[in-house]
Amino acid sequence: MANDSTQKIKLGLFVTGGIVLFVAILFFLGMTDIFTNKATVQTCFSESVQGLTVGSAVKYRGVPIGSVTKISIRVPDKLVQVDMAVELRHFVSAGDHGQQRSDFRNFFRSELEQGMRCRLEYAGITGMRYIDFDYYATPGETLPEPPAGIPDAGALYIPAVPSPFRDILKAIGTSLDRISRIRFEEISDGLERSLSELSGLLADPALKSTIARINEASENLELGSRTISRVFSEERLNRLMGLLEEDLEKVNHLTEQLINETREAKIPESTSAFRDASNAITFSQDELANTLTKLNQTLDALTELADSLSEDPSSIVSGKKKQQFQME
Amino acid sequence: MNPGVEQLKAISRRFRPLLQDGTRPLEFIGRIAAEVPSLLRNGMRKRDLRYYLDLCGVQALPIVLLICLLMGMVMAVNGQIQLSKLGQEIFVADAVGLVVVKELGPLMVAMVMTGWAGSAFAAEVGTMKLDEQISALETMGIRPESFLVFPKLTAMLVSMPILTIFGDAAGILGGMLIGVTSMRIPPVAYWTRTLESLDVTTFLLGAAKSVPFALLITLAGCYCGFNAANNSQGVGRGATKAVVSSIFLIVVADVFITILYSFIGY
Amino acid sequence: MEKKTRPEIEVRNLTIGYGGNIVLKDLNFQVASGEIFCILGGSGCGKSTLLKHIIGLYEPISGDILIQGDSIVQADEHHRREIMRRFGVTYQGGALFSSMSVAENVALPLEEYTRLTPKEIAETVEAKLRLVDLAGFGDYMPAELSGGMAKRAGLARALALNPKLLFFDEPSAGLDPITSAELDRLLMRLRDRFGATIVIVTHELDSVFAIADRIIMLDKQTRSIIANGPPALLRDTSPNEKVRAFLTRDGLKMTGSEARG
Repeated sequence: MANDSTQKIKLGLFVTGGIVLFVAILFFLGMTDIFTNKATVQTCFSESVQGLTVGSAVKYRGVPIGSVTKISIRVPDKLVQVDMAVELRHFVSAGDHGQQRSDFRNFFRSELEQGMRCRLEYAGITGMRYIDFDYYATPGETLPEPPAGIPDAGALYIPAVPSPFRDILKAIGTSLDRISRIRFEEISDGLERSLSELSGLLADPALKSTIARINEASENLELGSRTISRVFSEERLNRLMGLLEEDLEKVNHLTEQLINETREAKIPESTSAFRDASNAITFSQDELANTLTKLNQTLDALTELADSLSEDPSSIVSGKKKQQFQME
Repeated sequence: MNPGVEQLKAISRRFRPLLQDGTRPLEFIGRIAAEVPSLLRNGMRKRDLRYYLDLCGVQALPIVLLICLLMGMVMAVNGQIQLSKLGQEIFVADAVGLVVVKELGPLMVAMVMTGWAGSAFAAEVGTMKLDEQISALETMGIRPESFLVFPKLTAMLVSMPILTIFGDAAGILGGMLIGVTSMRIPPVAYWTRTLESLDVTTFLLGAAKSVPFALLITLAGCYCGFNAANNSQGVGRGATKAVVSSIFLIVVADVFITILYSFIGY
Repeated sequence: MEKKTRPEIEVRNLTIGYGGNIVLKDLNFQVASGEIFCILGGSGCGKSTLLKHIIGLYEPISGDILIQGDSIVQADEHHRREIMRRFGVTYQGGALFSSMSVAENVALPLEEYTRLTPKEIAETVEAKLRLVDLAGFGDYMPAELSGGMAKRAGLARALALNPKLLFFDEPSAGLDPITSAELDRLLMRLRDRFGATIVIVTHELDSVFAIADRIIMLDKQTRSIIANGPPALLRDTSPNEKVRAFLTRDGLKMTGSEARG
């Protein structure tokens, strides 16, 4: 019967089509995994890995090379251990799988010595993170010892460096620390002591170095404020600004005192030594003013950042309303 | 006699039919399950199986493809409206891919098949009962439950997963059509994004849902047919009952399956 | 020898009904081997229900039914199916499986219960169809058959396993007199040629007088058998007016006056 055979043909087509489609979908969705050559790389983070999940991308200088396969917490040292599978086909290498693997191992070891480390990076506005391999350490820097228990047999270990977020916090912390260490008291004491000791005071290398340090600190601060436009929390910022303002007041106070005391001192104008001293003081005054201007600028920048953050918190990660296609 | 006991007895008498309504489907399932060994020994009529494979698979394919394609398109359009506010239309691919593969594909196919096959089973079995064909089977010493249910069940268990796979593909294709034409996303980008958002486990777990759905549709359809009243209106009501109870059971099963999947992290 | 003396069917103290409503009670009768036995009664008296109990489709409220000496009531499911295979049943509309051709319908019991080769099955089917005058209709679908043909096809299917006991549910219902008479002749032939015992549920008096050896008559009011014997004898000599009225087609008038009186 012709009817019967067309029915059978259709049925066959249906079943075959279904199976072909099934296999095709499996293939596209990564059944190819079975056939890919992979290497396991492990690392440990001491910071939060919020935003990192199993399946998150692993990239080498922005090129996707694999994915996170496991995230676990090491009970003894509270480190977060992250296992990654790196697909070796992303590294051009001739030869069979074994050759590829040993090539990759060699490459990996030498690059570690060149300063290759891994770091958590933001993948977009979603708060999702990926792990980036890049050269964050200076070449030749001694490799940190891997935490006890890793790498597992056959796996490779890559040390983690703190994410940019932590860098910023650290830089600002250092800056503030340095500002607070300026010996303002000592300076004012010295000025108060006597005008006759002024030249001696002004020649004091301590003040010079202080000013230099203030400059350095404010530069650090500027650097911080530039990088901060990426990630920051408002609360932390407020606290920081409180500290800054406090310090600034101290500096202001110091300057006022300096000016006052300079004015009050009845310096015989005929004494050239004193003129020199006066010049020197003006000079140092300029330098102080300069430093203060910089501090002020920094403060302005921070205030502006705080304002913009409170208006649009998501700009921390997305930047300022830039529309862009994110495609990994 | 204690009046309280009398009252309790009266209450229990009133609830007995209700209880029977609850136990009869179980009895039905038990009868069928009891026949599985002899099915494995003797097999079933190939011609019947082929007929139902044709009915539930081949003939249902066009409508399944069409509905899933349209559902994919509808979702893409709705996703576009929302995501274009953020300038992130590309994520329509994620949304459509995930929703179709995880939930909508298996569910829509189950709904279509409820209307397509479940009601047909109920009407067919109901008519056979009305026409004494069931009695005839019985007096031939053939168990009507297994004789009538197994070919349908096997055909459904085979064709539902296949239909679901086709439905998944059609849904993604529908989303892609909208993505490419209306959102002007390059097909390759859409495709990459879809693959990115899905993985094998999600796909397999989604498609696996169609197996319990097939079981429910077939059993509900046949049960309602066997228990239809012996007149033409009864057969009609049986078909309606089959569809309504299938849909209900599918949704309940989907809830349970989702909870179950959440235990293993999907 | 013993087979002759043992009745084919024996019904003992049978009470039947649906869901607590008793339709018939305390029935006792026997059907002897080789007999054509008719169950008669007005509409709704429970003839078909009785038949369905005898063939094991329904479970009685109490009492027992023995088929060739084995109780179909007390048998477990497996044994009951084994008993069921000993007889053939022809249903009112033929009850052919609409998804199968006539030949497939007849072949079904053979495929299920014999180890015949497909060729042997085809030959048997052809023989059975010839027996019921349906030779050459094997490839027809049930929907393409007339009512009489469907009944005969159903009979062919019932005969497939060569049962010694046949049940008919309203064989002549919906048939024209000529087709009905042909069917009667067919039944006679079956009995004469194969020595089959035939139980018929009917209310066609022509058929009854033509072929029945013995009848029982059921009554709705008394829910019991009101007559048991050869039809002609009962028509002429029954002490029960109702029986005589039924058998002489005076039923409507007489039962009407009885109901009033």
